[in-house]
Amino acid sequence: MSASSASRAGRAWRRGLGRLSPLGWVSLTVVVAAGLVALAPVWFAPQDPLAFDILRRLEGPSTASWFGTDELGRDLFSRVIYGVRLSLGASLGVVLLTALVGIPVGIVAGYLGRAFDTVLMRVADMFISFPSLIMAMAIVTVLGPGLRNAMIALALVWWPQYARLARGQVLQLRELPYVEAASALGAGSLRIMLRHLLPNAFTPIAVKMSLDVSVAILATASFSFLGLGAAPPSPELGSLVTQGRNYFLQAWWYTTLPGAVILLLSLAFNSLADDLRDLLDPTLRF
Amino acid sequence: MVTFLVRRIAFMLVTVLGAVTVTFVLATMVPSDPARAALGPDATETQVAQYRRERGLDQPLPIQYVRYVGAIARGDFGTSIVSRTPILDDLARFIPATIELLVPSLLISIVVGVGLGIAAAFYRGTWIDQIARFLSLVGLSMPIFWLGLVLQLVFFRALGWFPASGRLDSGFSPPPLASGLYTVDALLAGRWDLFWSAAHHLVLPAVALSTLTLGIVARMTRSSLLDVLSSNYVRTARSKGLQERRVLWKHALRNALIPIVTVIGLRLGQMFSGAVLTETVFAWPGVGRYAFTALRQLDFPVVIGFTVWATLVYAFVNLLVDLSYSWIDPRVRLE
Repeated sequence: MSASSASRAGRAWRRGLGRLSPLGWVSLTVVVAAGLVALAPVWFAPQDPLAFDILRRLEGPSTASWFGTDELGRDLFSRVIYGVRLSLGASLGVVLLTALVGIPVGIVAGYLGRAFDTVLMRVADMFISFPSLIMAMAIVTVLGPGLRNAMIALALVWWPQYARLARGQVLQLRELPYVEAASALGAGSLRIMLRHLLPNAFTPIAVKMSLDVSVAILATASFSFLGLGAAPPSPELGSLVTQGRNYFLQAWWYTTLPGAVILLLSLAFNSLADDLRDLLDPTLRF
Repeated sequence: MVTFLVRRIAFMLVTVLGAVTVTFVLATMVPSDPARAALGPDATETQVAQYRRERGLDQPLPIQYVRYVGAIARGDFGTSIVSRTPILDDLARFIPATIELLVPSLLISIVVGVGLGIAAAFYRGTWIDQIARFLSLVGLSMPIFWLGLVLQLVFFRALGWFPASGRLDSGFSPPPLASGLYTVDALLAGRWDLFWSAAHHLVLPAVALSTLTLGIVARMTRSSLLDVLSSNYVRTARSKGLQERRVLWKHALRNALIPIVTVIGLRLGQMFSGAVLTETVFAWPGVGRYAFTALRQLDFPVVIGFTVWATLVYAFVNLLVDLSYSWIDPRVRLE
């Protein structure tokens, strides 16, 4: 990257940050903090998330353990810190996986048209007409419960949304002179799709991906809550809520605090994605 | 109009066939043997073989598939492997409880969501707009299973205002069966005490289930209304001296309705998934909990039956949504 384009990118960033709403700033802080926590939980967790101390069983929040302790006396705050890593990793994984399946399908359908378009889009329409999470639950049951299988199942039911979006973009782009020019210069279909269509179709897709992180956080947590995702004793946030549910009349903090962290993460990603959408493309509406 | 209906119903059938096919393929991929699962570990090999023969499970998969689709087309969903009752009977028993939960929570979402959206658009850029947008964002970001538990902690345990689970207080037996909706049946029987108990049990789960849809409806209302409020005919209405309130209610809102109605229709399908979570948290004996229990027990005939039902309802609601377009906006022609 040349010096001038680097400084241009820097200016764009500063301009973007300058237009963040106050809520956007708070959200950005939460997202960055969550990212750091997810990358190196060992720096942030005050105690070993697996070390149990049965004498400190179900203690309420205190200065010694901010979120209290669980039924084995493990420090809940440390478990939540490791849980953020699992939940965030799984949600980003779901979004990436979904996009990786959906975008190529959409671009191929939109650019090649004809039978490709008809068949791929009818299949996509069919998937969109299913109650998607219920179908995903059925898929996880067959694959076997677990965080990885929950991610695969969610990607399998969500890809049509990306396929539709990418196809819509490509249908507009492929009529533009620059695509025709590339084709006249002898570029093959694959080159046109990868080098010319994908980068230009990407803005609304990026906005959707950022909005979907929050949806994915909620979905993976819900799956773990139902016992279809991460299973106890995993500190995945949804799974922590389930574990706490057995004690929730005597230890309110055990379900409440990990769940509040799910809400906080999902809220931060949602609000940041909102601002990102306004910055990147104010005409887009989801 | 007729062509539109025929085409939509044809697509609906194809979608249902797709749902049956996907779930059938999933069911065949389950590692456990359905005959063995149904008869239990004590059954002899002969009994298992006989069960397979009777159910056609010894036939090649394509033949099983064709037979299965044929049976569903005739309205025969088969019997549950676990409870051995006909699935259609089970669905008929559990569906009313889910409807009783879905209707009020959809109403909460629509009334509060549209209200928030209108307030945000009307007072655009003010603190009212900021608060309404924040609330809708919170609704969108809410883990409903967690909200359910928190509501139970606050309103059941701490305040004692609402019951935590079930459809009726323990002393009551259900009202005589008419619609299967306890509130409606209690009113039909003239039992106010029963109605009160049923309505009381509805509050917390309905609120929990409504949050996500509420957030989406509020956002859609705001953005759709803002679009309309910046259009030429609204400017004309204002310039001829109409009051702002009148412009909003008489002129803008109706034209902003189409995207709002669409998003409500689309949400309904997703609310079945929400119903699985809410019904699990509140021990609500609805079809979501029934399907989820079946899923955990690998009772696939039930899962397929539920999926087909949910797909049908979803497709039907969206058909109604499409039909409503031409009623909301008479310029819309359905072709």
